[in-house]
Amino acid sequence: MTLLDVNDGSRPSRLELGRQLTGELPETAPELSDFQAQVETAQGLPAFDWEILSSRAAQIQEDSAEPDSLSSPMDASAEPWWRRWQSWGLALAFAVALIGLPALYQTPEATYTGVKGDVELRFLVDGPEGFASGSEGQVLKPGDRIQFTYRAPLQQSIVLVGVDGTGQSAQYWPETGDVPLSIARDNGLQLLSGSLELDDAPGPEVFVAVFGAGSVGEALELVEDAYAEGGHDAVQALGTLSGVDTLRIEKVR
Amino acid sequence: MPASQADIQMLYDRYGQVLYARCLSILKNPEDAGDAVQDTFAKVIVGWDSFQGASSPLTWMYRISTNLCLNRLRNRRGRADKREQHRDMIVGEGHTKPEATTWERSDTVRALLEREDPETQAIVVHLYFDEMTKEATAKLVGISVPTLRKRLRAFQERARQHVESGAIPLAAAAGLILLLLVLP
Repeated sequence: MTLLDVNDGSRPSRLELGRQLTGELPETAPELSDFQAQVETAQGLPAFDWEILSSRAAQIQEDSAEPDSLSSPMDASAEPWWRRWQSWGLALAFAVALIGLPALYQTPEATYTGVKGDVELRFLVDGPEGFASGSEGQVLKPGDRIQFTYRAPLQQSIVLVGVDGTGQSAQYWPETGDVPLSIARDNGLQLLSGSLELDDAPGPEVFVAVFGAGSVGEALELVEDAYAEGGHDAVQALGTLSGVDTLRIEKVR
Repeated sequence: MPASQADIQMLYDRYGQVLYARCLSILKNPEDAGDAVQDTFAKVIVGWDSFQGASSPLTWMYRISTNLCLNRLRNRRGRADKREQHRDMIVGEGHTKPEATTWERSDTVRALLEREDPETQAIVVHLYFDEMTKEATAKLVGISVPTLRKRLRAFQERARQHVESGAIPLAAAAGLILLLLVLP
């Protein structure tokens, strides 16, 4: 098996073989006898010792601060910072979006300043007289160039990602790699170096600035999970989370 | 009602060896694998109510033991870092770095795995050690299949870069290529 050769379902997984071997599933796989031989070859299983197991269980109960940790497949302490608040954040974000978005779209020319104050993302559009302030929901064309500005006085890093009209997510700042872009702590409005030329994917595009993320992958995952749950509206609603702000534009050909 | 000794012994007899073989394939260390199995059963005792409600006890124990094995890999990594940081203090300034142990030299895939975040580690374990499909892995880890695909691509890319950058010594790179071909 190589790193590129992932089981496509044409053979049973080792978990399935284990379930067959332990009687959880009927024994049907031809690979079962080989698997059984491998299992039996593994030497060194400690003998059953109730005292050791029950004392370890008591220790776990003492150490356990979170009763739900047993039902989680991942170690909660190692989860990304935003995940612990994601469900509540998304619920709150949807509520805010339901109430606030209609009002926002009635005045698309108004300058968008976000729903909360800890961080802020804005953009500039290149026009005949140079870059000028853009507005939330602004209609733009493929080939238009935009620059981003942000205000994040307490933050030290930024990741800017986006979801286009086809649902495709993309990483914009930093351009490559998984390490968030370092930013200086500053109270003023800062310009992200460089500009972005819009591609020809039509429809809405939501840009999301995630400040203080552990990695670019975390930010992308946050956005993709939101999109999977509720499309562009859900991605836009992420802007109500602390340390996150969003911008939405509309692209027409 | 709490788990009784008879309950746990019955489970240990039925699932212990399969779990042990799996933990050993991940950790490659009989003592660590044995500890991981015992800790898994200790968690079965603690979480007896939710365990009894599980449709597949082995799947439940796989999830728990994945975390326990990965914690041990991380601890192992921490110990290796500490050894490296204090190398001069240990062997004296100017001394040649001791030869890598057989484990450090040959088990490069695990060395790569230790550098990943917990979720990616779990993905890699389920895909390559458990030979699960992407769909089953995504379900077990609790993420979407597209997210899993992205994480996997990133891991593969980092593994490739790691080898190409020479961060892994030449001899180990040869071992890595071999291991990538024959995992687990």
